Amino acid sequence: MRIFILLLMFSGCSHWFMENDSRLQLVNESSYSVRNLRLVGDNNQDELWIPVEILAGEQSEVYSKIWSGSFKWKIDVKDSLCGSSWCSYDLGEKTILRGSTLWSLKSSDSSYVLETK
Amino acid sequence: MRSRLVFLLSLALVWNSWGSFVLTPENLHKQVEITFNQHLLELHQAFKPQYNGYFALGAVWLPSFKQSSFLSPYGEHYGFAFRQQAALLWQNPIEQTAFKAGFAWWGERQGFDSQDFIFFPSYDKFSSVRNLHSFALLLSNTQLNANFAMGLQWSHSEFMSEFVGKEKDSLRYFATLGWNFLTIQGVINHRSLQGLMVHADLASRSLRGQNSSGWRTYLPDLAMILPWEDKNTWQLSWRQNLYGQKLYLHSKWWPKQEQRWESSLQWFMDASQLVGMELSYLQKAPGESFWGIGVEMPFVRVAYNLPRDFHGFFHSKSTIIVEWQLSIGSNEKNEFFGLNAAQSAPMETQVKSAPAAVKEADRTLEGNE
Repeated sequence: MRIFILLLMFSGCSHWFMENDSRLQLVNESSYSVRNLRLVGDNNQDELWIPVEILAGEQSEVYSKIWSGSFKWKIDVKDSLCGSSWCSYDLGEKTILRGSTLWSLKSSDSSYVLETK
Repeated sequence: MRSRLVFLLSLALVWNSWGSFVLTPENLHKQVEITFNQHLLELHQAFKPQYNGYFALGAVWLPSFKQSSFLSPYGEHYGFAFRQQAALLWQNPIEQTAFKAGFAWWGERQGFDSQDFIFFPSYDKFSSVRNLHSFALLLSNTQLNANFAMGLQWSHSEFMSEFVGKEKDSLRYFATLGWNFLTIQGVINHRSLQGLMVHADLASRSLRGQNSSGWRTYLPDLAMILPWEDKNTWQLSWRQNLYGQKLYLHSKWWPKQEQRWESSLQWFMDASQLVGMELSYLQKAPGESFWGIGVEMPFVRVAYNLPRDFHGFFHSKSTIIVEWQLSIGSNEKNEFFGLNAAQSAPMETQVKSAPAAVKEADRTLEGNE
């Protein structure tokens, strides 16, 4: 009975003691500068998550959003393919959960992937 | 101690193994009419000339934020689908007549939010919170065994995500006319008939002044639900007592849809139908079907894949649903029963005389002093 009352009390209040925001930090493990890690929406309505440039080998600051789920991601890379301008790359779908997340960006044969560190 | 341990272990197991379902903006919109129709069905079941009141509270609780997600153009966003309901029906005899008058209100808040909450949603980019109300004025006659209700249903968008889109105007009027075993309900919106429901409760119920045993209790409860604009969603329902008004088989068909049907076997602890178990099978389309199971008690209901949650909770499936709930009806004899029950709950009638007995005992004690 006590367990029941406890459950009843805390149903609907999990946000009081669980984290709500998703805090994302990205390590750039590719050999190029990257910027604008973002979520891809329909009609090119992208949602920026990490809006700054991260140099090769550097780590970004933490950016937080109240988004959590399974989304499609995109990033701009200044690699040799695009000369001195930025190229956009699809990173596929990746799930981000509430709490702290540290991802690394890795390159392999002119494509890029996000990996959980 | 052992049962607690088993309970906690099963909770932990469930926590890690349940599936999730995806809400689409279309789901959220369609839920409005489904909910309105459910309010009408419950009104039909709770409003009888012999009954005096009905009270219900319910809140669906999804313990994990991974159980439901909202489909936006960006992907699937984790959060909490929710449904919070309340219902109140009350009718009182008019003195020196066989008439009773009263009112009924069904209120509900439903939608999706990134946080779970009791009163205050977070209103973020993905939240959709909608309020639905059904209000009716009631009139019934115990001698004629007839009842009549008239009312309106209204949906209000408290907060709508930009991904869900604007809601169309949804005020509709309804009327219910019942006589003996037959009830007809009609819904009107914008001068046209939107739905018609016909219920024939042939099964004998002692709560409605009929027999509590005998062959008449084995007659079926039949229903036709006919949404007028979309004939594909026409629905037939057959609820059959199998044993002593404790074991029922409830089946539904969609005659205009190929191979769509569902059936559930319900067992109740007693004929007041306040405590029960349910085993169900639902076939949505050829090749798309699933089993479900559920337990209902006063204060809590736990269900997995039940048709009532599939229809009533945004097409949820393959996930465990916990609902904090209480729904109880009462009649003029102060008996209590579940919605759509056949008989009242067994009560201890001796309790009433207890205070008098205590007083008497006190008096004797005083006398002795």
